[in-house]
Amino acid sequence: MNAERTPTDETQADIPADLVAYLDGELDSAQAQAVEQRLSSDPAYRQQLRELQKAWDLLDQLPKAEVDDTFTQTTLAMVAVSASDDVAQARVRQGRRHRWLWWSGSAAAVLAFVAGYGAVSRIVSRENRRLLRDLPVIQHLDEYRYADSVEFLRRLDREGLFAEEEIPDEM
Amino acid sequence: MTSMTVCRPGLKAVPSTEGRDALPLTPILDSKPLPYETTDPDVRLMLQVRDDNAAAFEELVLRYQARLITILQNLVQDRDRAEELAQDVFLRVYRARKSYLPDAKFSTWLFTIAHNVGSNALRTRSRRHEVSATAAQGSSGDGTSLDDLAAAPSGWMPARQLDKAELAEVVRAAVDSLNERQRMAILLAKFEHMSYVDIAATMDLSVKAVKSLLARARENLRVILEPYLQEGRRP
Repeated sequence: MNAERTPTDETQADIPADLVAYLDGELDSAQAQAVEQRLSSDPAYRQQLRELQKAWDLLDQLPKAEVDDTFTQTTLAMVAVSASDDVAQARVRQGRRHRWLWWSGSAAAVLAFVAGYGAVSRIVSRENRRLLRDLPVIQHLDEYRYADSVEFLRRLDREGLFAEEEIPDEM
Repeated sequence: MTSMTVCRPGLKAVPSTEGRDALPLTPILDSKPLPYETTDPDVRLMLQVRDDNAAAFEELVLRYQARLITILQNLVQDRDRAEELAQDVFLRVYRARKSYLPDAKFSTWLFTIAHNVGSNALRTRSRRHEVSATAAQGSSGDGTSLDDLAAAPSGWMPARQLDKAELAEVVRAAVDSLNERQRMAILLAKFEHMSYVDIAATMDLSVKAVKSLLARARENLRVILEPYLQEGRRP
């Protein structure tokens, strides 16, 4: 095939866009009138029109598909399988979501239990610490009843009477 | 009764308004376009498919399968491949049903999907050919390309009336020589009788680009088929 027979998009300078659009019925009346005027006065333009139309008519030789029931049934079956796959996948996704919800709920419950236990035990231990700190006083409460004043007890403390029974704070 | 009128060669037939005296005439500028579900029965079917109506989907398959395969077969030049691609298109239609919006004619939407599927198939085939061409260097083709037919010395093929199969082969090769976009535009115009506006929507182009594309395609075909235009005779 020589190059002159196969014009390309790049080399084709004169594209008969209006002539083709005229054949396709895509021109407005003014544009169509202009094409018709040129057709009436330009034999080469008329020849080009005829050849474009003949080439277009030759496309009727292209195959047109005839489809039997087998294709239809195969297509519908394929789509049905795809749809059932979609349903199965949706169920799997739903199952995953349920499992995720169960696990996350369980984890939240455990965390809440641990946090509550920690808080309660902290409150209880604070009471215990206070009791331990006050234990020497509690143990000597009967003797303290005989003291006349707090100042007397402080003097005894300064002299080291209660030193061996002091409870460290970190207990 | 509505009659069809054709104004000039090649013009699309349009329904005449004769005999519609009872219909009120409203100014075109004041009228709003009707929604597609009103004007396009296939849009209504697709809306039923969206609501999981299997019978509506089957009806759409029955209505479009032959048209779809015709376009795809002439696009990829392979009937079996065209059937596979058509099934892929219908599958995509079904899978996209829940997000379907009736903002175009159903055929425009369907052939937009078909165009994408066909283009992808051609690109894949092109890549495979690039690989296989390297391996098959030096081997001859099947001898049916337009280049082979046109390059054959006239002594081999004396001037004679082409039979239908030969002519079909010549036309097929001519269409195959167009680039993918030109081929798709030609097929939509020829087999689907699509307007430039619809082709533009289907191929995601401007109307101006479609006009240029079709003009180039038809001029290419005219030049390629010129030797065969005189009563189907070889030069």
